[in-house]
Formats: sequence, structure tokens, C-alpha cells
Amino acid sequence: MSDPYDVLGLPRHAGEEEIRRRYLELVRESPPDRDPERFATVRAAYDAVRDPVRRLEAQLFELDSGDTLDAFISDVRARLFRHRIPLDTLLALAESP
Amino acid sequence: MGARSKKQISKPSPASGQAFRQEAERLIAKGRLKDAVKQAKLCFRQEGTPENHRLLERAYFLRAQQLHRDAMPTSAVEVAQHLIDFGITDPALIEDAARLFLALGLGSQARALESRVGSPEARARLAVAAADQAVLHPDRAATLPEEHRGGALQVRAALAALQADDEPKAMEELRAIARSSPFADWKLFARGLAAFHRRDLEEARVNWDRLDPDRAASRIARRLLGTGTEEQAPAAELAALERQVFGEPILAPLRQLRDFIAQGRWTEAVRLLGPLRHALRRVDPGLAARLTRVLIGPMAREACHSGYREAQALVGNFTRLSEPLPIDPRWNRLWARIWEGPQGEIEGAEDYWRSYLDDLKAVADLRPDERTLAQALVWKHLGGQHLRAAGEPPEPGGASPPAPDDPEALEARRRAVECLEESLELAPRHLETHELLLRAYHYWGQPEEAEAAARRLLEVSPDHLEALRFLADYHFQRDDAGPALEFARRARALKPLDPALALGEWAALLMQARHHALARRWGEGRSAFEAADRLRPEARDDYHLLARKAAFEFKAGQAERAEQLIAEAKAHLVEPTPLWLALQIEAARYKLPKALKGRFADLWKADLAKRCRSETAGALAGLIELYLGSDTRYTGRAGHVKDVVAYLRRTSRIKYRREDLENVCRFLALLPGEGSLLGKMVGHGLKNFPDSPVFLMFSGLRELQRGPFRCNFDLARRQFEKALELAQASGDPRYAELVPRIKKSLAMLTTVAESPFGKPFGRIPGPLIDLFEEMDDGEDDFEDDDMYDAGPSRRARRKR
Repeated sequence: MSDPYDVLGLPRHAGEEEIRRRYLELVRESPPDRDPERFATVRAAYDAVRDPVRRLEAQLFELDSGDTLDAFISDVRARLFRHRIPLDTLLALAESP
Repeated sequence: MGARSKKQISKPSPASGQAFRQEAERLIAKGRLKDAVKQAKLCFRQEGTPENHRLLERAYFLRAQQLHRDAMPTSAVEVAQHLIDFGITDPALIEDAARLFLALGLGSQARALESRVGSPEARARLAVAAADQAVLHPDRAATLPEEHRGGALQVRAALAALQADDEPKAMEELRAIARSSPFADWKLFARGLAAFHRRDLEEARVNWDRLDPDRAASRIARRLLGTGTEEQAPAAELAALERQVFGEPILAPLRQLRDFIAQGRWTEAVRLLGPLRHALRRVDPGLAARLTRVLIGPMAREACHSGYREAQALVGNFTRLSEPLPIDPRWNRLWARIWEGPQGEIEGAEDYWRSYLDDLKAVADLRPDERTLAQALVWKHLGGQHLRAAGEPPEPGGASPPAPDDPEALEARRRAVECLEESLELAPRHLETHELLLRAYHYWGQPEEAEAAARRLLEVSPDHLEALRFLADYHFQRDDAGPALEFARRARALKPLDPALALGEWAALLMQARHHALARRWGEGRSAFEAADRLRPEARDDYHLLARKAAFEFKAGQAERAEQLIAEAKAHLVEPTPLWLALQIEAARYKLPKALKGRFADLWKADLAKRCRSETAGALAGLIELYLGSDTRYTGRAGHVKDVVAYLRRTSRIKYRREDLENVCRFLALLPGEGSLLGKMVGHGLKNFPDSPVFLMFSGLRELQRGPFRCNFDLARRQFEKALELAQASGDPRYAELVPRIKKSLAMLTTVAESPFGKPFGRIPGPLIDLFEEMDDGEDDFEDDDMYDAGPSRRARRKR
């Protein structure tokens, strides 16, 4: 089976709430009646990572986070462009030279 | 330029008004609109014709437009006011002038002009321009028609919601805007903006491509898309944006860090970490910790592949410059993992783990209950590492190694137990620690401690199959019929269709029947036999079971019934030799009278002398292997083993059936002194039944038996690999049982291949020494009766 964190698209140190939220998102994307295979994969991955002992063990003993520098840079860049400029500044773009 | 203009304008022109107009037109065409206004004024003063009026109107308009475009709104309004005062007579200028007045905030003047616009299209264009202005400048909405003011407020509220990251509210605000509304463009813009914020540039473009390119919304969209992706954004613009958002550029050093790491230039990479850490912390402390998480794994791998000094420097600098993780605030966990390395060496790591146990007591990232569990898990990890240091890590059902003479290994065992007990102290219900402890004791051949560990495990998990099976076996070995049956039944209840568990319960029932017989409880004994028959009806006609029942009936004084059972058993055999052996064994175990024992012994001796047969050889080997393999003792076992071996020696020329020859090899493999005979039998098997994993496995083991300096390891490996392939592909449970043993042998060969063994002064790995010892054929021990009592338990007895 693929790495459950990869299947869920979560970092290895994701918390309980984050895991649950992501699982529900994926179930909404692939409900069991529409995409049973994908749902089964997601469910199996969720079952694997929801165990608090497994999660704690991953935190304590695994050095590899499953996260990459490319993903990190991409997120920092997205954060830059996601930054909301004030409304007046946004609208002033219509009239600025 | 001003002086030059004055010079040009003040120059008296001899020409007529026509020449003044031409000069004004020239200045307009050259974009010198300030001068054009002056020239047009002169022109109009000289000759106040409608044509000159229109010329000055146009000059005023273009100058006001120019000032507006150049972001000089006050001057633009001043010039526009001159135009308004002067009056607009040119119909071609009315629409543009109205748009300009709107842009300058002269709403009422624009509306005054609007009434003079003839075409409905032009009026519609003015309406959308007014709408844009109302959105861009809410203070100007007062001059708009009533129906447009609400639309402008809705658009602004929606955009404000989007900037506050509240997309649902924004969409709700926009819902009331109709497609025909002059604000419909802003609705599309807002949808695109929401997608843009989600980084869905495709959807943003889909919405923004539908915008009117002449309108304000489209202008904003084009600006945003220009910086929407890093690839598109000019470097200067990106850096400016980073300074605005982050306070300083971060992306460039991050990319440099990535490039250094990709090139393995860790020293340079680590130097970037300090400034990056501070920059990221200013943006979000979580980002700094995430960068540590991203780098820590690759860095640890790099350290493990470096020399001692380089690794120390790399990890030391990394821990000095990086943001510590909340789970490892003093980096003790990282140092411990680095010291362990890929092989899991405990030496050097233990002190860090013990310091980390102190850190865990106060880690803010964990809840108090998680901190306790985390400490328990670290103790368990330490226990596991000590187990590894003590020898091969125990696997479920793994064979027991010999008691180590190495005091270091004994110390490692002691510390492993100590750590696992510490773990259980903190997390008494953590199943895996209990399992580890049970397997460790079982593996070390400490059955009493293993039994206690199994019982503690059952307190936590009453339906733990491994513990139930262990306890059933443990009591079976000790001839404790009651507990053996109880645990065997509980195990089978968990997996009712498992044939191995059914066999375990069946064997326990037969043991119980014997105990009842010895206690003269005949009814209960027969009930136990009936329960065994119900459990495995397919074994009802087995001669060995019938022999047991016959022994029971002899014991109960039911000789006639016993004789019937013997006759029944004989009918199921090609010849009765195996039955006489079975009856001899059971007569001893049921403590039957001497006369009966003598009768069976005579029959046994007489039949042994007959011509050998494959079926009989296989049955005899299978029967005696049962007692020898499980170390079930009874009076006369050594003699029986000797008799069977003598019989098998006479079978070298018979044509064996496959299953019989396999039984013979399994039996002979239990006798350390019968290597030569086993070799012959394995040779027959390989020749006649090349697809049997049994002969391949024993052949591989025989090759190892040749000793560390004569063994052909490649041949042994090939045979084990082929045996494994055949055993795994077969559905026969007897072949499936071979899989762990073959895998273990292969693992040992791998250990040898990776060790300096074979080179001068190379040390033979411990597990292989055990294997060689175990396989040592000791040809000269043949006459030693005690050897026939050995089997796999020789090691256990040696320990006892």
C-alpha cells in the first residue's frame, strides 16, 4: 500500500483535526457510491494514520517528514501571492499608470 | 521646453486664422496639449467662429484627459471645469467628455451631458462607466441614479469580503446583481478574484477573459495576472512584493538552499539556515519549524554517510542554526537517531534518548497523556534496540537461540527487559510492548518468564491469539491438560476455521483423555475422544488415534473394545508395523501392564524384520518425528528412534513415494548424528522429486553443514531460493510451514555475504555459528543412545 500520508496529501506531523478535515474533504471528492476504489484507498489510509499511537511514533522516531523543499518553496510562494492587499489598493490598480 | 513654447506662441503670425488653427492642430497631434489650449484660445479670440469654438473644446478636453492620465486629478478637474464653463457644442465630444467628467468625479456635469447623448449605445456605455466609478470611488456614488448606488455598494462589500478571505459571503453579496446590470462585469471579476486567491489561475482566467477590456475590472485583472505567477512576474516586481508581504526576499535564498542540497553542498546550505530561520519566523514561526522538518531527514542521511568529524560538524551546525522542532526542543531526539544510524546501534544513542525522556516531560506540543505515552514509546524503542544488540530480533514463533556465553549479550538482554518494563510502567496497556517482551523471553528460551509475559498480555487483550497459542503450547509441553485445552479452545474460538488451531485443540483433547484414563475417569476420557472426533472427523480413522483409543480401553479394562480398535487400525494400514510402534508408545504413556507392552514389542520386532516398504518407512518416520520434534518423552523413546533409523538404513534401494521420503528426511534432520543418511535420502529426493521444497531446503542446510570454509554459499542460496519459491507457491500447509525456516536460512546467508567472513581473520557471525553447531553431524555419535533423545530440544536441555 502507498504511504497513507501521501494518499491523504498530509504532512507526517499532521494533527488529529487536520487529518479528519482532510479525510472528509477527500470523501466529498470521492464518495463511496461514485468512486468506490478511491474511497477504499482513502479510508484505508485514514485508518492507518488516525491511530494516535502510530501518529505519535511517527513524530518521535521518523526523521523524514514526507515534505519536500520544493513543496515548501511552492507554499511560501503561494503565501506571497495569496496575501490580500487592501481593497483600496486593489481598486487603485484600475487607475494607476 | 516652456521657453521654447512661449517663443513659438508669441511669435507674431502674419498668417490668417487658418494658420492659427493649423498650429493648434499640430500641437495637438504632437501631444503638446497645454500649448494647444493656448493656441486654440488665441485662435478663438481672434475669430470666434463655431469651428474655433470646437477646436478649443477639443483642446480643453484632451488636456484634461492628459492630466487625468498623468495622475494630476486636481489640474485635470480645473481644465475640465474650463471646458464646462466654455460649453461643449461638438456632438462628437459629448460622450467622451461625459466619461472624463465621471472619471474626474464631476458626476452631475456628466449627467447633464448624458441627456444630450443621442444613441442608446452611447448612453449604455456611460452607464457602465458611471458604475465603475461608483465602485472605485464610493464617495462619487451620490451622483449616480438610485438603482446604481446599491449595486456599487454590493460590489464593494463582495470585494471586501474576498479580501477578508470570506468567499461565501462575497458570493452571497453578488447574488442579487443581474446579468444586465452595469455591475455584471464586477461579478465576473469577483469570481475570478476568488479563484486567484485559491491559486486556481485557470478559473481566474476563465472569468477574467470575459471582462470588457475597456472597463476598470479588466484593468485590475490584467495587473493581477501580470504578477499571478512567479514565472510571469518580473524579478523586481516579485522582490517588491516579497518586501511588502514578508519584509525581505525569502524565495531566492530558499531556491539557493534547494540547489546547494541537490548538489550535496551541505556546508553552504547550512550557512543559509540562520538568516532564513529569522526571516521565516517573522512571517510565521510555523514556517521556520517546517523548514527544519523538511531538511532534517536528508541532513541525517548525509550525516550517516559522512565521516565522524564531518557528521559532528554538520549536525552541530544544523542544530545551532535551525529552528528546533516543538517535539525535540533540545535536539536530543535528533542526536539519538543520528547515533543509532541505519543499523540501529544503541551505543552512543542511549544517553541522548535518556535526555530526551526528560525533554518529553515538558514538551508543550503534546498533551499530558501524550507525554506519558511518548515516554513509554521511547522506553519501548530503547528496549527494542537492546533486544537487537542482544542478538537477532525476535519474530513471532521464532526458534530459540542458544544461551549466549557473551556477557555483553546477557547485559543487553537485562537492559532490554528493564526498558520494556519501564515502558509498561508508563503505558501498562500498550499491547506491542507486551508482545515484544513475550517474544523476547520466548526467543531466549525462558519459558517461565514468557508464560508470565503472556498472562500479562492477556490481561490487556484477552483475545490475543499469539499469547493464547503460546500458553496452549506452553502447557501442552508441560503435560498440563486442563490449561492447555482451555487456551487452545480460546485460540480456536478466535479463528474457528484455522486448521492449525483445530489441530492444537484436538491434541489437547487427546492429552486430556489420557489424563482422565490415568485418573480412572473413563466417562470423561471417552467424552474427550468424542469431542476430538467431532473436531477433526477426518482424523477418526487415523491408526495413531485408534491406537490411543485402544490404549485407553486397555487401561479401562475393555480389552475386547481395544482389540476391535486395533483391528480397525490394521485395516487402514498397508502393513501394521507403524501400529505396533504407536501401541508401544501409548502403552508406555498410558502405563499399561507389562504383558501388553511385551506383546506389542514382540509384534514390532517381528514386523521390523520384514521387507521394507515406502509407506511403512514414511509412517514410522512421521510417527516418531511427532514425539521427537515436540520433545514428548516416554520410556523407550531412544530405542524406538534407533529401531526406526535401522529400518530406514535398509530402505536405500526401495522406490520411495514422495510424501514418505519427505517424512523420512524431516525425521532424520532431527538427529544430529544421521547427517550421512539424511544426505543420501535428500539426494534421492532431489533426483526423483526436484519440485519438492523439502529436499531443496535440506540440501541447502546440508551444504551449510559442510562448514564455513567448505560450504558453497552460492549453491546453498540457489537451493534455498528455489525451495522458498516452491513452498510459497504451494497450497500444502506442510510446505507453508517451511517458509519461515527457509527465510531464516537465507537471511543468515545474506549476513555472511555482507560480513568479513571468509576473509583472513574474518569473524563468523554468531547466528551462523549456531547453525553450524546445530547442523554438526558428529558421525561418531551414532551409538550414543542419548543422541536419539536429542532432536531440536538438545539445545533446550543443554540450557537446563
